[in-house]
Amino acid sequence: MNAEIKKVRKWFWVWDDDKEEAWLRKMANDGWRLTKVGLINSYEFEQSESKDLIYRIDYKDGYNLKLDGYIQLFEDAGWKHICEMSGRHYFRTPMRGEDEPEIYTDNESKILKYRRILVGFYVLIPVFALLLINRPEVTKSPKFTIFDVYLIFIIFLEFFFIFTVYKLSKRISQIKHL
Amino acid sequence: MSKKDEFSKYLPLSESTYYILLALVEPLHGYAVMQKVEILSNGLVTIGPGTLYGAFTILETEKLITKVSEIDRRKTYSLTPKGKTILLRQIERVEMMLKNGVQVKNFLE
Repeated sequence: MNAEIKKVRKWFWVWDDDKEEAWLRKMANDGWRLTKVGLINSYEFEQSESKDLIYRIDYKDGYNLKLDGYIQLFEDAGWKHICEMSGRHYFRTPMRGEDEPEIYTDNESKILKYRRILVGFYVLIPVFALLLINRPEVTKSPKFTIFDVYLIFIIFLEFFFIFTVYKLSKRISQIKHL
Repeated sequence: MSKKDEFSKYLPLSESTYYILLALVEPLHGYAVMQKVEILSNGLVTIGPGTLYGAFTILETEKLITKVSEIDRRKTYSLTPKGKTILLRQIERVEMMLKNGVQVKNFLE
């Protein structure tokens, strides 16, 4: 008999990855083991016995180059690679000892992880700013057109990227103060 | 010791980087480095795979370490002459730190 599969949609901000990890741990304790992460906050779980599993999300840049060696290193250290979604790699390991196992064991390297995510968003800000500045000439029309929808969408994304950069920078400075 | 040269910008090394370079005095692959550091430091310093992967990437780019072989997706690294020089400079710093610490320790006890 095949194990039961459950699909869940849940939104997590990119700077709140510790909340996402804690939620995945709770799911494992409730007997749901992560199998897949889809585009836009969709998670797939497989029913299994309840177990205390620690999840960690890593961000690897470089378009999955040298992925074999990367995954091998984590698996040697006891972390199972579950899946990847746009550069984010999901790992898990059974809870053991007193402290939660970590993939980043010092603040310097943890900051570098958030910096890698930050760079991706930094690049998008000027790109979308250019789309706003160099928008096509449209004759003034009193009616709401598809062009207005496009413009609002671009403005919305631009603000979203700026907000994300702000939040990630804040996360980095919090780690520094620990 | 205070002279500024091409190596100064790497110093002081972070605790993790220092221990990774110490371990690489003999050629080792990633997981062996993690195990050796834990044994060397009596469990005081542990290095997670995320930290180690990042450190390997930077150290290889900056040519402090070099890949000597790759077997079953496990890369073995060893120190370059540049890496050895920097590690030696760090050890000298740590010796000074220890000397200064011991002097102050007498006043604290």
